[in-house]
Amino acid sequence: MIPLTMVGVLTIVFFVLRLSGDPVYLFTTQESTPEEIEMLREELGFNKPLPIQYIRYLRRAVVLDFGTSLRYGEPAINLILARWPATLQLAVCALLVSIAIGLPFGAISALKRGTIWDTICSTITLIGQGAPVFWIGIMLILIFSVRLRLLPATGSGTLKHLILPSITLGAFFAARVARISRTSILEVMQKKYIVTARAIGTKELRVLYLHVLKNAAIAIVTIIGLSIPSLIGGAVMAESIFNWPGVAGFMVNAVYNRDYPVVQAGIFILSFTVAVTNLVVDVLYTYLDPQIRLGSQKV
Amino acid sequence: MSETILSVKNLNVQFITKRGIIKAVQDVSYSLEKGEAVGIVGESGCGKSVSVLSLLRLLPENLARIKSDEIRFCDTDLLHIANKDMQNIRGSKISIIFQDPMASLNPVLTIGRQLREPLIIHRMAKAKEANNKALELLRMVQIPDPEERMNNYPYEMSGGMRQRVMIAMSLICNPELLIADEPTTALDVTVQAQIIDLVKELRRRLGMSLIWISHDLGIIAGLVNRVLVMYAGTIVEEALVDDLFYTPRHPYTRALLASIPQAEGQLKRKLQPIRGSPPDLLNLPRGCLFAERCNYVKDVCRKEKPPIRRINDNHRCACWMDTTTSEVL
Repeated sequence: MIPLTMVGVLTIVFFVLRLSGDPVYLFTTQESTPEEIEMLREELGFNKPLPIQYIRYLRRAVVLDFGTSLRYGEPAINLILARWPATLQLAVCALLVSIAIGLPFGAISALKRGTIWDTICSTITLIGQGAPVFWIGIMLILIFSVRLRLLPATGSGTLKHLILPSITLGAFFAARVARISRTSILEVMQKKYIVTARAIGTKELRVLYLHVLKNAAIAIVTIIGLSIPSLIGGAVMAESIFNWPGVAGFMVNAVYNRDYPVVQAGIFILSFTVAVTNLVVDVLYTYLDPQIRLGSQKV
Repeated sequence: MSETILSVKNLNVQFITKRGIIKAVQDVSYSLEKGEAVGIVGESGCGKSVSVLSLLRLLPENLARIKSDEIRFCDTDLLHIANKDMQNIRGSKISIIFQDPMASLNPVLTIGRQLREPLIIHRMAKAKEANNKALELLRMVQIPDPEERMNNYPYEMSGGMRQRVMIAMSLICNPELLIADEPTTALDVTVQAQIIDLVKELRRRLGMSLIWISHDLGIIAGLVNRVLVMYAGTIVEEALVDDLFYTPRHPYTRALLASIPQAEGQLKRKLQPIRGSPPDLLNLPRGCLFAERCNYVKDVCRKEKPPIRRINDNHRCACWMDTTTSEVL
């Protein structure tokens, strides 16, 4: 499935980028003569018919050759790969933050359903869901960097630098995790096997982690898996706000500059990340739900 | 003289809902001797399950309101013990088998894991020992290939098998009291008969007391010593099983017996349904709750609730009428 997805992604990127105008003009000035432009076009390979360009592009993509950045003069894939770990680091931290915040919030509002705790948790979740990433980011900078001077507003390198961007990106995601946790925990708690668990004398805490969470996890993991692309999407904003040296922010600039090779390489790597994550989620699934694990072997 | 294992006095259970207060169980009193088997019979929603689940605090806490003069199990006051102590009793001293085996087992845990769980929770055995005990119980409830079944998940088993697993799970700690809450309702008739035979056999072997809840008098007949008949949250008649079948007193019991379909017999009589439907538990009528559907109804029935009267040592009935003579008592 992953190769197929990647070809699809590459195709869409290729044609959509071609729709945005002739890239040759980026390299020319108003004084350039038509001959110069033509020479440049030939040099860069933009003179060939579109299908030929497409085939060549695909063949190169297989060996991760997306060409040289039109702006930096370096292989695009190198530029992207150099920034990729930073994005990955941010995304993983944000995911951990969102689970660390979202799951307890969801669990509390499910377990204390209808009480003031439920209202508090649900309200915060609603705000988290509604607040735009850039607003949360700016507010956090305002409070923790400008007022309290506790954490750096931009840059990277230390754990301190990681905190604000992770929370910014994670907060948006945490709301989603909290909402789905609440719903699925409530649903599982209605099940008869929860009564059975209590009837054999299971303590409440054990009921929660062994019976409720283990079953609710299936839905929660699904939602987290489905949301990975929007996490990467949110990274664009978080990276821009905090000047985080990752792929997402870098690609936004590449799009403005119509730096095709970089955009293509960037999208390729990000889509690949998403596809691999989905695979991981699927594998995780089989671990969580025995019916999927054994379904194909037995029956 | 046998000793009383369970004694419930004036149990009342109400459910608080948006539409009002549902009086699910009203002034229910019963007791159970050690080793005795009691059946609780009545139609759906008459409070059979609630009157038993409430003893173990298994009803949703935010909805159910339980009041009682006494709930005593052996020497323990179940009404006032701490939740922690209640957890220690559940599954070890009092076990329950539920109605729906398809939904009562945790789908993501193996059968073995779930069978060992009561022993582990109640610290009655270490992992290895618990495993052996689980295997022993699976054999006892006649599941073939118990070793292999231990690694199965519930979805890999049929309803009858799952109910056997539930029975094994409920017996694994050697409980003194087993509560069977319509354990055969969701199963087909042959499997139903197998499960009943199994419980009978296990009871004979292990000697625990039994409360069997059912809406089917036929099932109860061969299984228990004594029967409580419930209607709209109250006990209307209580008798030894033979007395109940041969000399039923309450009009509701009589109607229930008349509505059992009979396969054999020369009479080929028509099935006699009980006309009408039970009263709305949100809005109970003044007098006798069965009055609207009763064939013997008199004026007094609609005005005042009949007290439960003693007919002999083992027979009680809540009716204004002597249905054997059709006279008001």
